Parts: sequence; structure tokens; C-alpha cells
Amino acid sequence: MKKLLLPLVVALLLPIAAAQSLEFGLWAGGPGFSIGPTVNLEMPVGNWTFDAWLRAYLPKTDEISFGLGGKRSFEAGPAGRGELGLKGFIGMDAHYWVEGFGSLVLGKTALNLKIGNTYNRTPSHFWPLQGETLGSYGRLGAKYRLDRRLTLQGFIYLRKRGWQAEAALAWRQGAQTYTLGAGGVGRASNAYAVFGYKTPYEKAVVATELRLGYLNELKLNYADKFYKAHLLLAYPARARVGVAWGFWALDAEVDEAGYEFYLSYTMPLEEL
Amino acid sequence: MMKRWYLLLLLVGLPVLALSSQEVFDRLSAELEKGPWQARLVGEIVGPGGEAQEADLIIKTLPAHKIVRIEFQKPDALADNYVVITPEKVYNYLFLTNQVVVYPRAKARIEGLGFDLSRMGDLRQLDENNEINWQEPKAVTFKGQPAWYVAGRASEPDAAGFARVEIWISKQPLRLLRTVFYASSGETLSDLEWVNFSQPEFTKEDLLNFPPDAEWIEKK
Repeated sequence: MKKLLLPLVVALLLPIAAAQSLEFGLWAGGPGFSIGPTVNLEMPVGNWTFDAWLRAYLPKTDEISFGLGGKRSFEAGPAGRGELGLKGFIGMDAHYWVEGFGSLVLGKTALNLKIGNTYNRTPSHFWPLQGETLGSYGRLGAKYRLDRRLTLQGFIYLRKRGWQAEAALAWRQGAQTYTLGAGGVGRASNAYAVFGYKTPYEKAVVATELRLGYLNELKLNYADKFYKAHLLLAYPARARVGVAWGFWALDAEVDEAGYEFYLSYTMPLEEL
Repeated sequence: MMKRWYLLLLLVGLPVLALSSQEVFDRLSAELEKGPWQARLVGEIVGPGGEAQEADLIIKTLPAHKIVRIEFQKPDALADNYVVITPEKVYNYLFLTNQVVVYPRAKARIEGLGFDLSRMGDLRQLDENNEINWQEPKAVTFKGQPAWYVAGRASEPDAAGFARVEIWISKQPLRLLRTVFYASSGETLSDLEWVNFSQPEFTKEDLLNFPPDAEWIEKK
């Protein structure tokens, strides 16, 4: 596997002159302390976009992983668009993750589907080459606009030995959007309620989501022209916070198992 | 005797008084390029599935920067989506997924309406490029207003996205009143009346305004 790594890295980085962007990242986490520099190259060719990822992982070099992805988009102007793709990664210790995904928005309907399989998941939550769960999984999300004010939305998520489903109704009142729904995890008795609120605030947009019941979490999102920030607080104890500005992004997460930081810089390569 | 002289004068004078389509479009463009303007387009368009749908669009333009913003009110399937056309890029906002898809202007084709909406902005350019063979304008009355009626055929219907177009332009003030686009089969692609013309003070930032939390997808 190690003999393959160098030619693969070279092959991944050769098309850099045609790339749209190159992202450099630095991942760090624990328990203990590990650090992993990352590279993501994105290259659009017509309606296709290709991605290549590489992550070193220190001090455990066996965790070094790389991945490839490709997706095809289908554009229909103001009527909608679709996307179909596949991505996957493999690590030096033969852990892998593969995922097929597709999305469609056409008129009043939007659908998105992800199907994948992960074997021996890597520990990062932020690095994109991260399977959602061990084993096979599938997630289907949908939105349907009943009229200009009301939108039905929901998803079903199936994974090995578990499922989650959620349905909600979002309605707009002026510039504000309210969401009310319900979900369940694993069994019908493990239900939770969903509340959402989104509003413009000066020249920014602020959105909040609250899940109460079997799941307990609060999400806050802020976006203006220059900054995007998000915060998640959940019980059992888990917290995530992140901010993106310009070409930079910084994320941090802490839970009962440990902590993580991920700093990334995306360099546009349009001029090359 | 006098009547014959009047008739002769009229016949001799007609070619001088008659305007070419180029002159009509030049005058209209000169009027519309004076400053920002906004109009509402109501009527019918053919949807992506080929069925006729009620249409209600708001067009906002900033001639100094050659920016056009088209906001969809109807049909329901397009409501709250909008398209912003600049000389360099076309921005397509999809409300349901909160996405902005950005295309280079040269490659963009504003599809989904049966014809390329972005090309409606400058009739004069279509004329100069000989993309449409325009007939001589005819003086007509449109809903009680003196107007010019100009019809044209696309020299390459596949490239233009339509085969034939009819336009009604009011003489005073100079305004578009109605545009009808037809497919090669003769089917109407869009039949829109231009109403509620106004001249608000837009800025470039007003027309290039997108939700700050939208996902951006840049096409090359």
C-alpha cells in the first residue's frame, strides 16, 4: 500500500493547473494528541467535478488516507438542477468508505439521497472523508412546496441496527420562517419534537433549530456577507462550533470521547 | 383636386416617415438606458414539461451596469427563484434548496422557460447580429395606445431558442407592451404583457443581492 501512495499523490496533484480550488487543512484531535495535514483538490470539467483528497495522520501513519470523488450536474436554469456522484476513500490500514449520492430540485420538489458503506471508520467528524456510521447506511431527504408559504420537509435515515425519521412543516410569514415537526429514533417511543425559526437580522440571516425529547440539541446558524458561524449544543454532552470567513474556516468539537479541531484554507486557482 | 394632392403627398412622404425596426429598437433602447427601471411581466409561458402556465415575473434592470434581475412570482414551480444576468456571469437562485448557481455569461442559457430569457434584454443586439430577421414595424393600436408592432424570425431557431417573435411597443412613452415568442412548430412559448413600469433607484448591490446563507455553486 505504501508503494502505491507516492504515485497516487503525484497523479492527484498533477491536474492542479486545471483545478478550481485547492484546500489545505490541519486536523488535530484526541484523546491524546494526533495531527493530520489535509489537501483537497477540486477540478471542474464541464458539467463534471472531480475531487481528490489526501490526509496524513501523525503519529499513526497507518491512518494516512486518500480519496477520489466525481459528480455530474444537470442544470435546468430557474426550473431546477440535479446532481449524481460517487466518492470514496481508502486508508493505509485498509479502512475504507464509499458513498453514492444524488440530488434533484425541480419546481416544487427537492430530493436528496445518500447511500454508503464504511468499514473501520476514521475518527474525524470534520475531515470530509468520513463515513457517517459503521456498515451500510442510506439517507433520503425530501422537500415539497405546498404553496409559497408552506413547505413539507423530512428525511429517513437507515443504518446498521438503527433508523431515524423526521417530518416537519415550514411556513413563511413575511421574511420569517417557522418550522414545526416531529421525529423518531430507533423505535416509535424514542420520539422528539422539532422547532425551527429563521429570520433576517440587519443584512444577515439567523436560523435556530431545537430538538427536544429523545434527541436534545440546539443549533444556531449565522450568515452575513463575510462570515458564517454555527453552534451546536447537545445532550448527552456534545458541542460543536465553527466559523468561516473569506477562504478560511475553523471548526471545533468536543464530546465524551474526545476533542477535535479543523482549520482549513481554500485557495482559488482560477488564475492558473 | 386638393384630396389628390394630399394623397400624393402622403404616398411620397410615407417612406420618409416609416421607421425601420432598427430605428424603433434604437429609440426604445435609448429610452430604457436612461436609468434603472422595473416592470412586471404577466401572461403565459410554456413550462419545462411543455404545458402552458400562468406567468408573473418582475424584471429589474440597471442599464449603466448592464445588469438584469428576473424575479419569478408565478408559476408556483418557479416562485421565489430568480436570475441575475450581468455582462460576465449569470446567477441562478433556487429558493427550495437555497442555492446560487453561477455560470459564465458566455456559456449560460437561461433554460426552463422554453426560450433563452437572457437574450430578451437587448433586442437591438439581436438585430445587429442578424440573429432575427425583423419585418418593417407597423403602426397599430394596443389597448387604446398608439403602438408599433414588429415581428421577426430567428435565422437559427435552435440557437435562438425560438423561431418567431412578435413585439408591441408603445409610441409615447416608449415602452415594451407585449412580447410573444413562438416555437418552430408554431406553438406559443411565451406571451407576456409588460405592466407596472416604474423607475426606482436601484444600485448594483440591490440587484446582486442573494441570501447570505445560500450555498454557492460555481460552474466553469
